[in-house]
This record gives sequence, structure tokens and C-alpha cells, in this order.
Amino acid sequence: MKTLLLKPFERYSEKQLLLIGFLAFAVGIVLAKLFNTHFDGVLDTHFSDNVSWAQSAFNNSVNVIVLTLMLFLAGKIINRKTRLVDLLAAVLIARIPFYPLVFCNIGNKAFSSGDQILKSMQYQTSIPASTIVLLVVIVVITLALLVWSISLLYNGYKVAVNGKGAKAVVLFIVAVFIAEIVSKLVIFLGTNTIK
Amino acid sequence: MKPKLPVSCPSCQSSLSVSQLTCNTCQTGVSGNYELPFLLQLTPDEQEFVFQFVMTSGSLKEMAQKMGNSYPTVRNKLDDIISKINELQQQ
Repeated sequence: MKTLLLKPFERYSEKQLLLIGFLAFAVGIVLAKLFNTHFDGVLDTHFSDNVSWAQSAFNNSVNVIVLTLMLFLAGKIINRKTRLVDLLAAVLIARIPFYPLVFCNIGNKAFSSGDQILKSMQYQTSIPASTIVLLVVIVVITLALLVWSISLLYNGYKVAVNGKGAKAVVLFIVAVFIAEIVSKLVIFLGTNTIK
Repeated sequence: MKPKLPVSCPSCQSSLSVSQLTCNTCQTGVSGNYELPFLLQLTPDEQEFVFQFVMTSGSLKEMAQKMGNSYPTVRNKLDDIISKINELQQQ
């Protein structure tokens, strides 16, 4: 079970991982549209009251492509035998923990709660306890799923590049950091074009 | 249980060499000081990996299927063995 949840890359072939990963990718796009969730960066999730099909597909695609390319570059520095397909599989699988987050916004609940807090701060009014409890629960769930996602991503990267030691860890952190900046930028610029 | 061939000294961890060989048929003994070949200095698991590599004609994909591992995991193990052999050659 531990292997399946944290280290599937050691056992399962790239074909199996890609199949599951692409299926989850498609489901993620549908869920993000249905529950108005923006995955607007490789490590980002924001709730909205309206997300289009094009925006949902664009966000998820940018995240997967940018993160795969950055990790591939890092992988090539460590090991010239690194294959793009292994990192694509790692990224697709590592994004799976993000998708259940959309359920936090059923009925736009997470979005309206966030909006309510912003308005309360703006107009100096009190925040209902139920809203605070809901946001705390969302934060805890988000952190847990984020840790799971990064664990999956690192394990997949480590297997794909045969990474050992501090160099592999540092390059992983740098690659994810750059991917976060690039993906945010591309999604920001692309969103204006889609609109 | 098949006894494991010791390849390093239990006292100082240096590589061991062969000092005696025996004919199993007539019990003739040959004494000398022979270095262990690189392959015999690998662990039993690594030797098994090399054996499987030869038996699958070097197909890592086939090995991955047989071992129930992913392709990069098998390739990484091969790379680790290559690194170890390179280190042994330099010693």
C-alpha cells in the first residue's frame, strides 16, 4: 500500500503510470471546471465562482508541461540517461492529490467563505465562527495533500534520474521553484488571451 | 542453505583474495594468491542481476517485467553496478 501511495514509480511501468496519470489529468480538468477551481500554478489551488472549460484545461496542461520540462532539465544535469517519459509520468501521478481539493468548493462554499473574510476585514465586521472553521479545515486538507503530492513528485524524480545526495535534492527544489514561477506567469498571460 | 562467498575481510573490510583451490574429484589442493574477479566481488543480489541481464540478452524492459520493477528502477540498478565495477577497477 505504501508503495502504491508514495513510491509507485519503482514498481509500475511507465505505460501503466501514464494511463492512470492521463485519466486523472482529464478527470482533474472536468472537476476543476465543475467546482470552479483554478490550478493556476504547479503548487497552486484557488477557488472561484466561475471557471471555463478552456481555462481549466489550459491551467492543468501548463502545470504538467512546465513542471515536466523543468524536472527534465534538472534530470539531464544529474544523469544524461534521464527520459522525458519517466518525468511526465511522475508529474501526472503527483498531480493526482491536487484534484480532490476541488470538493472544498462544492456550491462555491470555499470561494464565498474566502470572499466573506476579505469583506469582513475591509468593513471591520465580525467573521462567523463557521467560516473560520471551514477555512481551517480546508487549509489542513490542502497541506496534507500538498505534502503527499510533493512526496510523490520527489520519489518519481529520484527514480527517473537515479538521483542521490544533496545535488539531486537541490536541483529538485530549484526546478520546482522555477516551474512555479514560469507556470504562474504563463497562466497569467494565457488567461488574458483566453478571456 | 548455500553459504555466501565472503568478498571482504570481516576484520578490516579489505578485499579478500583466493589462497586455496580444491579439486572436488580427487581433493588435490592448489595454493597461491589469486585476486577475485570483479564479478565475484559484487554482492549476490548484484551477481543475480548481472546473470539476469545476460539471460535476457541485455533487455532491461524484459528484466523489468520479470523482476516486477519499473524500467528506470532496473536501469538505475544497472548504473549502480557499473559505478561499483568502475570503482573496483580503480582500486
